[in-house]
Amino acid sequence: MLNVQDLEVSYGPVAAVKGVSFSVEKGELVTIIGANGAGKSTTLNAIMGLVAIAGGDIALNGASLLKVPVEGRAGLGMSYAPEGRRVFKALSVLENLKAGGNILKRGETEARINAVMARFPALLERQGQDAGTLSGGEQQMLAIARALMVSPDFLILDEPSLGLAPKVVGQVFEIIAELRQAGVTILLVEQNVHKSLAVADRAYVMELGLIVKSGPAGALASDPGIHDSYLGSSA
Amino acid sequence: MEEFIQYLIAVVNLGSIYALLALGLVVVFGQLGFLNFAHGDLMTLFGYALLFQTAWGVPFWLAVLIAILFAGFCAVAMERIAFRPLRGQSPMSLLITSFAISGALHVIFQVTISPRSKPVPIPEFLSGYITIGEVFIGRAQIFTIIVAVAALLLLKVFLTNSRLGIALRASASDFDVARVMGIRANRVIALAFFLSGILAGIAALLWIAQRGAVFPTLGLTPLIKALIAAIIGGLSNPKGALYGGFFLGALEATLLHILPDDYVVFRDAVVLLILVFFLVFRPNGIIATNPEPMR
Repeated sequence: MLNVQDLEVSYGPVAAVKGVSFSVEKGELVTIIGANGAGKSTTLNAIMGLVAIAGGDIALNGASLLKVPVEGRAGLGMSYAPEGRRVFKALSVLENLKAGGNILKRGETEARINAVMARFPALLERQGQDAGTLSGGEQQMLAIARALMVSPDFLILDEPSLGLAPKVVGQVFEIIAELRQAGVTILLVEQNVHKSLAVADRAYVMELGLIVKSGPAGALASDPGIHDSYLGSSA
Repeated sequence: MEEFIQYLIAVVNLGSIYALLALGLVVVFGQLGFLNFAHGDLMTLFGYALLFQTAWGVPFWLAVLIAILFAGFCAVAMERIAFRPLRGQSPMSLLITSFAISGALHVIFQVTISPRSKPVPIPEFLSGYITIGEVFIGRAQIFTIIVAVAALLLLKVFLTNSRLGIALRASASDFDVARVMGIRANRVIALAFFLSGILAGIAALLWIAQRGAVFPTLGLTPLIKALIAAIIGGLSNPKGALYGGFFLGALEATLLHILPDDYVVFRDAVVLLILVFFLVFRPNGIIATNPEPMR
């Protein structure tokens, strides 16, 4: 589905991603884990076209994305829920979903809204409310719901559990597991290493702009190095 | 009672024109993060378009319609020619560019048209007064209120009910995320400028209908009022421009009413003082959608 080859991204003189290669196969849930500043979100921004890349290639279903403008990528069946949720705060919940379905044909929007609302009943209750007035957990649900408006084949989630209460974190990971069951290919970037390894098929570990380890999620979860660096003694 | 009704009409009359202008500023600010100082000159462009058309014998209302559209297209052209090449630069560069456009337009008007004020023929029915009981109301004022309220309602319907309107607001709220959703940057930015031009055109119609003349720097005074209204109301949300416009209208009408005749000259000073108060104590304006201060 997604193939990233030798990706390099720099912010001015600072190299944030220094030649990263990885892939996500159809139907898989792949997670990229790593500490703050490892280059995980930058990698996702490069995939969405939000940062200029300094080298390498990104291909979706065998076709390079480098020439596709940001606005054109939604039409390719990929969708994105950004770090920090970034819902459209001044818009109502319903309008956020409509904006998420911007590329849908005119007749389809309503049916998609109904389908998405059925999955997130809390949003249905609040559909007229401004998104800025929702709780953090509700905003995260809205960010995911908004990304689902286009019925994506490939969903990219950036830190969906960041800053949420433990109970809500559990709900977010339940939704991720459900989406995977429903056949959506998912690339998940997370700091909650324990939960994301539990839900993923495969994982990559990023450190200072490089992938330092990769493998089946289960194997990495029991890897002593990973255990010490990211899971701590409590996990 | 009569006095109170006249006061209220003055509030709505001033407030609605300021609101239209401030909305034009905020719609563009939402997309590109700068205040377009050439916005007032779109009003002047409307004025000259109306002037020339009436001189050529185009019927007044047709000329008005064409002039409003002309202002819209001038705004789009401004973006295409001057602002698009600077896309991605800091909003400060765009702001300074807009000063340059404004200055250039003033000179072009002075050299190619006339440095003097030119009378615009206003139809008979917009001049004079009507009386309801003891109350004298200017016909141009009634016309202003009807047109402005209709324009504001149409704008609201467009922004909340149409796909383009929602795309415009989404992109004002988070430009990059909106692009990820497939909302095309060039298209929403052009749309924002077109709307701002149309709003400036409508405001100019109302402004000129009450003054009857057009001159090269016509847009300057209303632009400054609109800037004050937009800043007081808040730049992050069209609602802010609406509230700010009516707040400023109410403020000016009130000052005109309560200040003794000798002190009316201090009206603008009081308005600016209140602006300073807002900048110090509520820099995000009445309606602050974004918790962090605007750049």
